[in-house]
Amino acid sequence: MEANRALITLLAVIAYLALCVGVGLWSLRRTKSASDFFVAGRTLGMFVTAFAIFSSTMSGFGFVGGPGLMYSMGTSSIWILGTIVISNIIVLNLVAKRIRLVAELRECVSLPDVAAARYGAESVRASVALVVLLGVLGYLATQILAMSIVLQGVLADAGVLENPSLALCVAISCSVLVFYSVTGGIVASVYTDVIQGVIMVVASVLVFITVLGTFDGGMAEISRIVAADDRAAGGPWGTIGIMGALAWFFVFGIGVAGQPHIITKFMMLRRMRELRYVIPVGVIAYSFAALLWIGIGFAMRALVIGGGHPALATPDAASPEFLQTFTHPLLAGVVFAALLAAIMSTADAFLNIGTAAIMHDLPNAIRGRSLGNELAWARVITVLLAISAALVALYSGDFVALLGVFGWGTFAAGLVPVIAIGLNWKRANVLAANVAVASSLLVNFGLRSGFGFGTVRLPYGVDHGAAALLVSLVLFLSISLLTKPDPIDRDIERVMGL
Amino acid sequence: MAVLLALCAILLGLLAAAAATGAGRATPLPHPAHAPMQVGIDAGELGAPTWAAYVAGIAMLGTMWVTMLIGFREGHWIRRAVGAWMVGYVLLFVVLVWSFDAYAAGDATIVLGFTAPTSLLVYGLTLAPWIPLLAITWAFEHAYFGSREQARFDEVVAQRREKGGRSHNARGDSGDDGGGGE
Repeated sequence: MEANRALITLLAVIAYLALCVGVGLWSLRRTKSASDFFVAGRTLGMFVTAFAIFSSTMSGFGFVGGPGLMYSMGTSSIWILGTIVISNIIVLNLVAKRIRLVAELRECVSLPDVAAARYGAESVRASVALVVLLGVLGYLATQILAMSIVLQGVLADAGVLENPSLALCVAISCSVLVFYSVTGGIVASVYTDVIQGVIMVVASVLVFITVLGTFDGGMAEISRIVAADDRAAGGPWGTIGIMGALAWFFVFGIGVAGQPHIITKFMMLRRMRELRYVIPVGVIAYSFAALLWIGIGFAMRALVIGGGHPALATPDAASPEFLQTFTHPLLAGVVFAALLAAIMSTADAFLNIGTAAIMHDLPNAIRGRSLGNELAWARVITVLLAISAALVALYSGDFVALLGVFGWGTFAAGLVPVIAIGLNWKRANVLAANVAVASSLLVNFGLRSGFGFGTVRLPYGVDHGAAALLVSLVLFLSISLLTKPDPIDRDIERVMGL
Repeated sequence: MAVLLALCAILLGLLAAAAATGAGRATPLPHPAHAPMQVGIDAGELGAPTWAAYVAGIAMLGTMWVTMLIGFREGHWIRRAVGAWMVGYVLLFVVLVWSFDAYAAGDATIVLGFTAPTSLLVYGLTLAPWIPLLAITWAFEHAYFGSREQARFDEVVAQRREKGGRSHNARGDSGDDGGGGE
C-alpha cells in the first residue's frame, strides 16, 4: 500500500471532486430563483447551517497555514484557535438573530441588502458591497491558488502528468468549483460544505491520533522538545510575544462577527428556534479540526528540532510533509481530499457573496433596482467572477497574497461596526457607517502596502487588521454619539428591539 | 456603547504610544539551525510581561464582554451571570500572565501535554467560554429568542406584508410606514 501512496491520494481527490459535481447536479433542481441561489430559500436546518458555517470558516488556512504557523512560531497561533468559543458567542449575540430576522422581514439576499434595510440608505449598501467585493476578490484568488497548488502536487506525485502547469491545475479545480456553484448556487455550496465538514472533522481526529503516536509521551514530549529548544516557542505567547498574541485574539475574536461568508449563513436558517444549537454544533466541529492545526504544526517543529525530519523549505510544507511521511496512505488520501474540501468550501462561499455584490447590490445602489432575470445573471456572473479571480491568482504576483491577508482584517474593520454593532444600536447613523467602511479600507490597505513604500510594521508585531478594527470602531462609535441619529424604518426598529 | 468606545480608545492609545516611543520593535529571529522556523523575541531571553500587556489584555476582554452582552434580553439573569463569568475569565487571564513569570524563570512543568501557562491558554481561556455558551443554549427561549419574540416578529412581518411591502431590494420605502423612525 505504501508503494501506491500517491495513487491512493489521487483517487481520494478524484472521488471527492466527483462528489462535488454530483451535489451540483442534485442541487440544480432545487435552485429556481435568486433567493434559492443566494440564501437557499431560507430552508436550511440546524445541522446543515452549523456545518456550512464551520466549513466556510476553516478554509485551507486551517489545514496548511495554521500548522505552518505552529511550525514557525510555536504556540502563537493557539491565540487564534483560542477564540473558537468566545467569538461564536459574540457572533450569536451580535449578529445571528438580527441578521436572520431582517433578512426574512425584508427578503434580503445579501449582506449589503441587510445594511441598506438597517440604515435606509443606498450609500451604505454601496460601501458594504465595495468592501465585500474587494475582500472577496482577494480571498477567492488565494483560495483558487491554494486549491491549484494542492492539485498540482497530487498530480505530480501520482505521475499522471509530468510537471503539470499551475494554469492547468487552476483550470481543472476552477471547473469543478464553478460547475457546482453555477448549477446549484448556495444550495450546492452548503451541501458540499456538509460533506466537506464531515471529512475535515474525521480526518483531523485521525491525524491527531497519528501525531500522538509519533512520539513516546505524545503531546507532553512534543512540548518538552519545543520548549527546551526555545522557551518562547513552547510558552503561552509563542515567538510573536504577548502583545502580538493578544492582537490576534482581539481581531479573530471580535472580527469574526464581520466575516460575510460566515454571517450570511444565518440568513439561510429555516427557523429562528434552530439557531439555539447551530453555534454549539459548529464549535464542536471546529474544535476537532483545530486538533490537526495544533498537532501537525507542533509535531513537525519537534521532529525537525529532534532530527527526526529535515528542516522544511517553507512553514506551509509542514502539513503535506507530515501527511506524506508519517500517516497511513489511506488517511493521507482522505486528508488531502479534506484539504481540498476546506479550500473549496471557503471559495464557493466567497463566489456566492461576490456574485450577489456584483449583480444584485451594486446595480441596486447605482440605479435603484437589480438586474432583470436575476437567476440567469447570477450564473453568468459566477463564471465571470471565478475567471477573474483565477486570472488574479495566476498573474498578479505578490498582489494576490496582499489581497488575501487584506481580506479578514478589512471585513472585520469594515463590517463589525456597520453590521454587527449597527444592527443592535439605533443611534448608529449613515455617516458613521460610511466613514467606518472608508477607514477600514484606508487603514488596512495603507498599513499593508505602505502606499507603495512597503509594509508598515506595527509595534509588538500587532496585526494590521487589529489596528484597522480599532480605528473603525472608534470612528463609528464616536461619530454616532456626536451626530444626530438618522430615522429608522418602523419595522426595522421593532426588529432591533426584539 | 460609550464603554466600548472607551475600551477601544485605550487599546488604540496603547498602540499609538508604543509607536511614538519606539517600543515593541523587537521581532522574532530566524532559528539558528532550522530557518524559516523562528525563535522568540529577544532570542529566547524572555522579558517579563509589562503593565501594558495587562492593560491591553483586560481592555480587550472588556470589549468582548460588552459585545457578548448586547444580544440578551434586558434585565435577564443571564446578563448578570455572563458578567460574573467574565470577571472569572479576566482573573484566568491574569493568572496566565503571572504563571508566565515562573515559566520564564525556568519552570518546566508539563500539564496535560503543554507547558503550564500554555495549558492555561488551551484548557482555560479557550474552553472556559463553553460555560456561557451552554448557559445561552439552555436559556435560549427565555434569554435570547422565545415564542414571545417570535409572535411579535410574526406580527411585524404580517403588518409589513399587509401594506404591500414585499420589496425584494430591501428598501424600506415600499412598505410599512417608510422612514417613520424616531
